[in-house]
This record gives sequence, structure tokens and C-alpha cells, in this order.
Amino acid sequence: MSAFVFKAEKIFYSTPNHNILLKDINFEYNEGDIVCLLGNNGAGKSTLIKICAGILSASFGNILINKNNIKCIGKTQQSQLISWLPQSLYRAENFNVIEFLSLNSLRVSKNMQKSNSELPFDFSNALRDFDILDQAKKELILLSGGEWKRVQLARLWLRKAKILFLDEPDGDLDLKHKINLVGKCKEYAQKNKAIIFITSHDIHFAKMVANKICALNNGIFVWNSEADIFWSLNILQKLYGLNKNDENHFYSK
Amino acid sequence: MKSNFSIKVFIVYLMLLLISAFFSIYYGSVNISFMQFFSSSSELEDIPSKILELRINSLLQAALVGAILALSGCVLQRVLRNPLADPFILGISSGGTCFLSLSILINYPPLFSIISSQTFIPIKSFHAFIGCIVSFLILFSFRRKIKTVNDEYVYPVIGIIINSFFSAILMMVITIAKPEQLAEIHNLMIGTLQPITFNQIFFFYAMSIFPIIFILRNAKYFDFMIFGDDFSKSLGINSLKIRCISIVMICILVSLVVSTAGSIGFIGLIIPHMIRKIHRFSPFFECILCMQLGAIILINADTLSRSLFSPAQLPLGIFTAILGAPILAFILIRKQV
Repeated sequence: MSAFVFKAEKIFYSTPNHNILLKDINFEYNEGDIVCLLGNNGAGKSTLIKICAGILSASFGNILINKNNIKCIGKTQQSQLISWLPQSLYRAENFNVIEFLSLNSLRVSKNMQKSNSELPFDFSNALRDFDILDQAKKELILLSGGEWKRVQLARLWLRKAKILFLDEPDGDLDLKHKINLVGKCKEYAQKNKAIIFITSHDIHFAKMVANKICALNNGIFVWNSEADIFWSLNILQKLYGLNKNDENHFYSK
Repeated sequence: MKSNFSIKVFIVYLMLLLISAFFSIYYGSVNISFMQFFSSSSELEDIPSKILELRINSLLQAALVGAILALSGCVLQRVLRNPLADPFILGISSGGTCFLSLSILINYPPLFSIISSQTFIPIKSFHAFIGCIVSFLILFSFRRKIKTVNDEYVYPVIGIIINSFFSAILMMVITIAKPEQLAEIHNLMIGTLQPITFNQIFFFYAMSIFPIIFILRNAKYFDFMIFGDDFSKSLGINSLKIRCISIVMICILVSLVVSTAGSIGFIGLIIPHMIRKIHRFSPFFECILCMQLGAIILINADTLSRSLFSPAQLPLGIFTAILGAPILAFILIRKQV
């Protein structure tokens, strides 16, 4: 079987009010890639990720998974292939962590009911990986911000999808769990031969995790390369519109 | 994983339902011992058997009305992600009551009595049903015109618009109406079971069975939808479509209820909360429990309203509030977390 390929061709997106958010975006990534998407606030990162995950549909252009258009893939198959971590997710009442984890797809949850065991092996493993095993029976509304993020990540890790879209996964995490997440992402991409897209505002996190860097500015794809090239070129200043003082502040750490 | 079914809980509620049904048949404004029923069952024209028939009719009606109200409250609270949603939030009922009170006010000669369908639908209910359908059409034509991202907030807002418009007209009718018409309109607004025949009950059940089954079949998706449209879409569930279809079905059910019983408040709002506080089940079983508990409470309220101040019959809506409010308050206080 040939390598797994995810490709975007000439993506344009405009809102119903005719604001153009994304212009002419093209890229192609192979299995094992961890892509970090950088950009200012409002550059269109989340929108691009939503389009790629099939939640929004592009105004023009195609998303191809292994040369199949995403629109032609059935809804259930698409949901098994792609996982998406939202930037912020509503916490429902009357839900505990285990119940949330079992919300995968309908077919899976049916199998779960038959086995009726106390805590399935997969679950306790995933929970241990993200350091939330002791919170397994806790209500979602009682979790702290970081714990809630880790629960959502654990849910994605359980689904074993081929393509992960993580919209600011490091947002609420502390340093220890951030570093842990870097290891997890690398392991996941290798083990499942998956593609992981990450948006982040944390440059250090991006530097640690990604092997491909791309950047968006005002809806235009301004950079796409191997990570090493990006970091050696020092173009952060231009990308984020920093002036000299800001930059000194950043590098003096 | 939330369990999908529990036979124990189901049977407990079923027993409660049967006990309430027994009381509902046994008590009423006229006391009849059961011996009288059996002794007179051979002669159908006898008074006790007539009373029995009336009571069974009103029992069946109350059970279905309660079940529908609680079910639609439960579904709307999940689908609109709004804990304050009740069956009347969409403004369906106000259209019904408004049309009905208008018809009482105008009091035109009964044109419809010629039509043979009157054996199935009484004239009053027919007006209410037309009013409900009108507001239902307004709701969906508005929904189509409004382009917005927050789908779940649009429906209640349109509901408020429809509600305020029709209740303004209703207020106008009340100001104009004669005193004897006022009493009738008043009963309607609080909610009372209209006396109906067995044929009409059969029609009522037959109309509501399909929407209820449809909603229950979609119930498994409600747990995903509560986390938001994007989340459910990423799992391959088209939540916009499910929300729209569920609301259509609820509109049909609520129109049926309003046309036979007016707008009985409180049941649809309170019972889903009670079920959610007491139990922890998947949405499918939650819907079923809501229907059972709704039927139980409405049957008891009906019994009380018939027997407590007999021979006077109080409006049913008063009792649902009197019964429901303290129970919910009690559960909220007792429940930790």
C-alpha cells in the first residue's frame, strides 16, 4: 500500500457575509508528518483546520485524502478517518470522564455495551497516558481547564484516527503535560502512521513537536517547509509583525 | 458508558403508572364502588358504566398528554441546549390558544358540524390545531430566512417573537370578550382536558405514535449534540438536520396536545429535570422515563382536579404546578453534585 497522503488544492473560504478568510491554499503531507500551523490571531488557522476536518466546507477547492475527495467519503468513514480537537468545547452537565470517552462513534459504543466490563483496558491506558486516571469518575464540570483538555486529548487518542487536527492543544496545559504531549504526538504519528496538524501560539512547543512548519497570514499561506529550515531562518519577526524590542525580549530568555 | 436500559427502573415507573391509573378510575366527583361496576356491566346504558367510560377516556387522554409534554420538553432541552426549554418555547401553543379564543369570541354558526370528520376532531380542537399549524409555518419560514451560526438559539428567539405576537392578540380578545366567554378562554389558557370521545382518543393516539417513534429513534444522537454542532459534525452526525426534524415532530405533538388540552405548563419543563437529577441514563431511556413520569404526574393531577373540590372541576394546569414545583425543589436540595 502506498503512503497515506493528505492534500489540499486551492482552498478558498468566505463567510456568508462575503469576508474572504482563506485564499488559495495548497499543501500536501504524508504519513508521519507533524505539521505545526503558525500565525497571528485571526489569521485563519482554526478555519483552515475546520475545513480540513470536514466541519466547514470550502467555498472553492478540494481536500483529498489518498486521492479521494473528502466530500465523496461517507460521513461515518470520514469520522473514523479524521479526529478534531476544538479550541474550546462546551462541558455538558451529567457527564463524567468515562462517559465522555465512550462518545466515540455510534458503532464503537454499541460494542462497548456488550462487554460491560468495569473499565476497559484501552480506557485506563489512555487515561494513564494523560495522567487523569484518578479523575476517571469525575464530572466534566468539576474538572480544571487543563484536565478537561487532557480528557479531550485522551478521547482522540482512543479513536486512533489517521488524521488528527489539534486546535491549540497546549492552550491550557502546564509545562509538564506539554512536554508529555510532545512525546505522545510523536509516538502517535509513528505508531498509527498518522498525520497530525497542530495550531499553537507557543513557539517552544512548536519547535519541539513539529517536523513541518507552515504559517498563515491574513488568510494567505506564507510559509511551508521542513521545520529546521524555518527555525534557522529567523523569520518569526516578520510573521508576527514584531519590532526589534519585542524580539530581543523573546530571545533574551 | 451510560446504560441504555434498566428493566428495574422501567418496572418501578410502570407500577407507579398502573397505581395512578387505578386511582384515576376509582376516584372522581361521584363515588362509585367497584361492586356497582361489575353488577351493572351487563346493562350498557347504566349510569355507572357511562361514568366509567368517561373516566377511562380521560385517563387515556391525560396519560398521552403528560407523556407528550414531558417527552417534548426533554428533547427540546437537549436539542436546543437550553435547560429552560419547554414545549411552549417554540410559540406553537400560543397560536393555538389565540385561534381558539378568537373562534369563541366570534362564535359563528357551526359550519363544520356538517363535516363528518367531527367524530374524530371536535370543532374547538380543530381551531386550536389550525392555530398551531399557522405558528409552526411561521417558525419555519422565519428559520429559513435567518442566516446565523448559532442554530440552537434561533428557534427560541423566533418562538418568543411568535409568543408575544399571539399573546397580544389573545389579550385583545380577552378585553373584548363577554363574561361567559371569558370563563372558557380562561380555562383554555391554564390548561384543562377537554372531554373527548373514544374515537377522538383513538385518533389522538394514532397521530402521535409516529412522531414519538421517530424521536426515540433519533435519541441516541442527543448525547453528541449537547457538546455543540461542530463536535457532532466531526463525528459524522448532521446535527442541523436532526434538530430540524426533531422540532418538526415536536411541533406536531404539541399541536395535538394544545388542541385537546390547552397549554398545560410546567410538566414539560420540570419532568426532564427531575429524571436527570434522579437517574443517569442514555438519552433514549431518559426519553422513555420522561414519558412515563409525565403520564404519572398528569394522571394524578387529573384525578385531584376532578375529586378534590367536587363537583367543581379545577383546571389541570393548577395542579401540575402545585405538584411539580415542590417535588423539583426537594430533588434539587437533596441531590449533591
